[in-house]
Amino acid sequence: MTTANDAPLGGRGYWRSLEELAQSEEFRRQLENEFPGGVDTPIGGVSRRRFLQVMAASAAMAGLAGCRWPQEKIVPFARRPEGYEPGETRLFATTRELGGIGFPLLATSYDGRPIKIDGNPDHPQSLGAASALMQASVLDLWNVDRSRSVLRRERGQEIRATWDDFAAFAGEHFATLAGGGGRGLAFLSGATGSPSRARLRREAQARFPEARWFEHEPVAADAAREGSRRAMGRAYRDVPDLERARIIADFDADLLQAHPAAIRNARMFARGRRPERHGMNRLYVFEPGVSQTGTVADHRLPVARTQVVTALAALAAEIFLGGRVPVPAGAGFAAGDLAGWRGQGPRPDVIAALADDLVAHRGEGLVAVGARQPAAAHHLAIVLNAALANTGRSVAYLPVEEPAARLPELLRELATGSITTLVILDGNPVATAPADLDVAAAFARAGVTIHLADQVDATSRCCTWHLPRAHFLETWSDAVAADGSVLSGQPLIEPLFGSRSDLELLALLLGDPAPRGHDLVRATFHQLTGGSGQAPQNNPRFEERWRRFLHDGFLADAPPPETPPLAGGALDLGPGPAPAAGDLELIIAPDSRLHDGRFADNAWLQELPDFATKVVWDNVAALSPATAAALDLRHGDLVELEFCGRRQLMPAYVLPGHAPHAVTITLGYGRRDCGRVGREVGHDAYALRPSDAPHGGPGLAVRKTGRTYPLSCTQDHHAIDPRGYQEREQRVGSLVREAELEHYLADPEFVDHLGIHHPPLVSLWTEKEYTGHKWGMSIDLGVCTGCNACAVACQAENNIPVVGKVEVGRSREMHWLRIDRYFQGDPEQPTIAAQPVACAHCELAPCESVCPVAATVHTEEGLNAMVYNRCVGTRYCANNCPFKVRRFNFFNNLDALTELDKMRLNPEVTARSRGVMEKCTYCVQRIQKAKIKAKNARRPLRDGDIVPACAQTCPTEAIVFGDLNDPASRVSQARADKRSYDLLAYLNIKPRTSYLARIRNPHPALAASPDQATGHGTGA
Amino acid sequence: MNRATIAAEIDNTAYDPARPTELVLGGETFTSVTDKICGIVEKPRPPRAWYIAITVTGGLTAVLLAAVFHLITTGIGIWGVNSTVGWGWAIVNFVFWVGIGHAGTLISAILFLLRQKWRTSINRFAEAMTIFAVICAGLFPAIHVGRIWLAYWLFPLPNYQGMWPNFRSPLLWDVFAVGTYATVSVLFWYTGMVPDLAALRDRATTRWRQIVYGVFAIGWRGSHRHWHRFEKAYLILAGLATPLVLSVHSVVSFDFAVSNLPGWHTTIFPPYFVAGAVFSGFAMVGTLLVPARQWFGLKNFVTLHHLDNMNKIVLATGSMVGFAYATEFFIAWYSGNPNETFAFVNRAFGPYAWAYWIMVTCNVVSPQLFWFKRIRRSLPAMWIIYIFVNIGMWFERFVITVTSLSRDFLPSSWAYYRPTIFDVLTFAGSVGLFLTLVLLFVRYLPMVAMAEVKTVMPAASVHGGPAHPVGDYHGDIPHGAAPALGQEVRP
Repeated sequence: MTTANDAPLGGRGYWRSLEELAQSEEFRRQLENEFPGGVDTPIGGVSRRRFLQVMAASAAMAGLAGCRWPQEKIVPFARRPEGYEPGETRLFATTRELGGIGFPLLATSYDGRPIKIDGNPDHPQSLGAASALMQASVLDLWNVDRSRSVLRRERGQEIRATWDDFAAFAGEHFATLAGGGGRGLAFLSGATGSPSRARLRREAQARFPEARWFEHEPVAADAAREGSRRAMGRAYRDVPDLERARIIADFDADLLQAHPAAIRNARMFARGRRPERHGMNRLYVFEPGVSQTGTVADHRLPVARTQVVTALAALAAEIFLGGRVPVPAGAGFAAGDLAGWRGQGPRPDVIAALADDLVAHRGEGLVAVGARQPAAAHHLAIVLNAALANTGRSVAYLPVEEPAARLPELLRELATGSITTLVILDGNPVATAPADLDVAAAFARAGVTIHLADQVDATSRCCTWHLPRAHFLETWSDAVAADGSVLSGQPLIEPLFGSRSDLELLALLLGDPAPRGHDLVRATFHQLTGGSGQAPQNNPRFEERWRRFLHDGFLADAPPPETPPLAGGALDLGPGPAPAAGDLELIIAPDSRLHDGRFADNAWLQELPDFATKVVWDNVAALSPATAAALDLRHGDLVELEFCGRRQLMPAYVLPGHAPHAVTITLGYGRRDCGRVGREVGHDAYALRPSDAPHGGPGLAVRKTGRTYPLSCTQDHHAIDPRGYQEREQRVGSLVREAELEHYLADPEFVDHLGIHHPPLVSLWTEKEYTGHKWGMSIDLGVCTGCNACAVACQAENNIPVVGKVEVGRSREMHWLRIDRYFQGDPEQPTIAAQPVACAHCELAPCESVCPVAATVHTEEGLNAMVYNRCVGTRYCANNCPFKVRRFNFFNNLDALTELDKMRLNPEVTARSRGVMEKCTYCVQRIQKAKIKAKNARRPLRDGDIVPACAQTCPTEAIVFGDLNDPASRVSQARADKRSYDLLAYLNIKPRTSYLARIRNPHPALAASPDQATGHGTGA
Repeated sequence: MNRATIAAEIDNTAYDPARPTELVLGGETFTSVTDKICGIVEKPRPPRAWYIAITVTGGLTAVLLAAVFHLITTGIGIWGVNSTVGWGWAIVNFVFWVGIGHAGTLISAILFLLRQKWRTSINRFAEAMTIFAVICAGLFPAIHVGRIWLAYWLFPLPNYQGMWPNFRSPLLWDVFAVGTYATVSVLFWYTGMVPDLAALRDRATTRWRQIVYGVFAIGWRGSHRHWHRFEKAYLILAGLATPLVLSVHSVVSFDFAVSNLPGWHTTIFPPYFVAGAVFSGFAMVGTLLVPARQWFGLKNFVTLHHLDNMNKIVLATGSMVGFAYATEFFIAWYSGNPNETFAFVNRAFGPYAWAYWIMVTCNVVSPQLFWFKRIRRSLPAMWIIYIFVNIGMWFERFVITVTSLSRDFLPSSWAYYRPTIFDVLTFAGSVGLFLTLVLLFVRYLPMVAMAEVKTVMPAASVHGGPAHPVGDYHGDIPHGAAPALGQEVRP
């Protein structure tokens, strides 16, 4: 390629090519073309040169004083920076926001490349754990389909532009707007708690006093704000403390998964769930779908979404009308108002027991209500918590911003023509707006629309400017965590594609021609810590505080949550209990993986099985077996849903434990406007979502189309025959062993009676003695919620490939760690169990003896090691593995990796080629690393030095790893527990991973009869 | 096969202890035997049907090559196997073909040692078929591994890594068992063929025939010393081959029996597999021999008596297989192991019940028809039953391999296996390869062991009459027999 953009050398008439000499037409075209051929080719990722530049810059910064320092020059290393060790991973605290809540994260950088995200162990909202979504978000950084350039749209034409073009345009345009006081200017963004954003917004309001601000968040908690406003006079968010709560009543709140503080909730819930140490808390869940919280509940009642409030009102009636607890002052209602609700709702016996429990545990209970429940439910829950003296003990409240105006108001304003310039700071409102709002047409009415987005999505396509948005690992930011503490977000890498953050864009619009995210966040920090104006440049004390903020990832002194008094707003429960068995109800929920669709282009999440359905690469219309039978539907039938006059096709999924008379669909699928991973995957639920009923409601019609739709599930791949169903039912009791608390206390050795009865197990040979380390793992099924965090952690740590819907449909998913989910009992109200299964590193491993080439062998420490370069791929080991945890590379999965994808591979773990078997290694790379570290420090390994990826991120600390030869290690203690059992022990395989049986703690009045209390399994 | 030819069959199946059954009919003489058998090979052009047949089978072989090429360049993923069912059609085909390869050695070695003279007419054909089946069988384990280019690591070759294979693995035992079996089978087949190759050499009228048959006849001149050494060698090879008949399929069954999978982990497998192998091998010999004797005019050599005997063996081994099926079920229940019980209940009534009942119908029910003498002697009936048995034995291996894997210990990983088009094409291609080799064999090599057949003819008897049993190579071969052969060489 001729270097067409170089300036000619002086006046001496040197020519660079024959074409230039000839001044051919082609050469002149090339000179004029700003983007010569190949520059805009998206395939193949960044060029090697660009990557090396970025990497060198990042590495240079990484070398400075523990946290990355902003340096805008790109220079290669002439000398290695002090303290920087090539090949050594470095950790940086950072944060990402989701729905206005910041999550404290810890990002791992390898030679300047962010490769993994974990929770920030120092922050109380994480304690080292991170959700599946947060962990998977590192993959978005390396997505090839990210937007790579500024785009300008003129008369339907998309024109490539640069940030300089935009800055030139904005400088002029916004100066004009500022001259008019900001009249005609509007900003639209998702929910955010970022202090820097708030500061810049204040500055923007100063410059554009007449500008309007709107918020669009597809999954919002408006009702909770409204409920708290009625109950306590202003908008609050509840901050539960599950460590103190002994009786937890979860009304569709999904405290352990969907709640903003879910990670901490899960940890604290689990701490109150160890029968040996702390006694047991008790969890009641009323919910329409099957949530992870419902899975671990002691009493789970499937009720339609609109019936949850009936159950809550019935509970309140039971408590207040029983006379044991008076209605507190300022409740906004009298006890008598609830008379019509007493005994209503499903299972009055459970509600009576719950009322009993809550009253008996005053100050140690918690009533939580989910975001999609009406304001009255939130109001009532706040009153109940106050009446039961829980407020201030097991729950407190954090004031939140009053919500800005919403999308419908923006559209009304646009329709009147009063808005001429619209700035969309994030989100994709065209794709995620309710179906009755024609956002694209409305946006077209504004003369100038500016959209900052990470991909050229549906919204970008109808805006005049598309600006590439930086990934959170590329920018400086801040956020507020669920407990109100301020989090710092720092980049680990220069923006790969010259993208910028929302903060930088706002600063640009405010007249800063070269905004620097670092300075913006630093200035906010300065103000947060009591300063004013710009942050000082040469103040060592401030500098230390600022660096500590970045290093820790948060400001330590978070404002404590409040216990505001009741304000006496009227309780509006509506006319009375709605009839339970009315017509069919539609429930529109965020997806457990794609949330509102923003993760649609994330292959890890697309291939992550939904906890309840185990479906990947699709969303479904979930409905209970009885409802399906009434509608004559089977698993995989394609149905047409009609709601509020709109229709959408969806595959039916018969989900045991789903509420009757209801169908749940999830958002985020069926996108046509994202990258190639998520494009046209699943069906778009927004097409059914009305703006006046964002969570759905009654009035759903379901029609069979007569067609079926192929669903790929990682479990129960096909509809099961009666005999197989019966066998599964029989076996589950011995695989997932559980008992009720009373039974356990009476018979602590109950687990031993649940396995298969077998003669004494003997070996023909003298077994090997493990005298050094003896690694083992224990998984506590009592607290495993099946949240999938471990599965994503494993995928990220171990370079596990994604194989796609078709391959999963052929049972070829590659996850080393899977979460088995079993239903048991009545299909309408089953008990649900989750069981993470990975290689158990059997001491007498059946896989090892059958491998003809000795590619899988035992190490001296008892790991069942897989020697990839020795494996020829007979698959005999997988056949002989009773847990079926071995994964075979049927195709060359490395072929699917783009150059960008290769950047995020963990260099500590071999990437496996075609024809090779792979499986869990107990994170052998981490074991080795810890051993080397201990050796260098001349000290023995300590328990806890080695933490496999799954154990590191488990929110409930269900997974424990350590040395079985160390009697003091946590894993040895777990193994010594009476609840400990081995899976398939009768095969004499001596697995190193053992399980702790699950203990349920039902209300004594509701406990099952003794022979029902444990499933007496006959399986293995 | 029309009614006229059936009517023309001479029934020599009647058993009269006073008078040995005539094993060669139609008043054949030594000369006419040589003329007839060599004549097939010496015709300047094979019949048109041969060309049509080899075009079809050659085409299928090409399909096999294409499918294997695609497999090697793309990966095992083109087949239907998955994480739960790690072995599919490839292993099913392997066991199927190895099983078929059992009839040859059984007929050659065991029947030879047991002095069953009727074997002489069919042993050459059966041995050839054995070798071709073992070739097809050997193909599948080689191509079913993930990294085909490293399959040689299964052999204990000295190497720079200092790595030996894992001698505890049944797959390694397979390598030795099948390798030994293939070697001994080829040696046995070739050794027995040397006198006949010499006859072809001596009758050859073209230069290249003289050279090719001459090279393979390794200087056979029919001297007494040659005959003496030939007989000793043949006897020793028969002795070597006999245990192999039992060992090969026992070892193949260890692939399953040594694992811990319910449905695989059963001690009955070795005898059950051997019986099944003989069963399927005889069925395949019959499948090919019934039309071959018709088309190549071998009715005087492969008589109804021979076929009747084969059918009796099919009946016997079929019943053994049926008994094994019943025993498996009994033990599954009697063991009290719920996983084991379910594995068998699932076979018969689970998602693969269709395959199970095809297997039972073909393997257990259909050979029972051979209790009827009329069916044992009806060429169309026996041929149909042979086909049934071939199908049934393929399904037996499918049922064992796939149903056991598809539902093992943890119900969470249960999966259903479906073959892909490439599974089907590879199997069809292996049938094509097998038939191509058979067609080349009938065209270029003597398909009846002339030297051996002559020993059971009346003319071979010292007393010149059929009343005296002769020709079992134990010192009672007439001195005139060998020179008689020698005389034919220059007409």
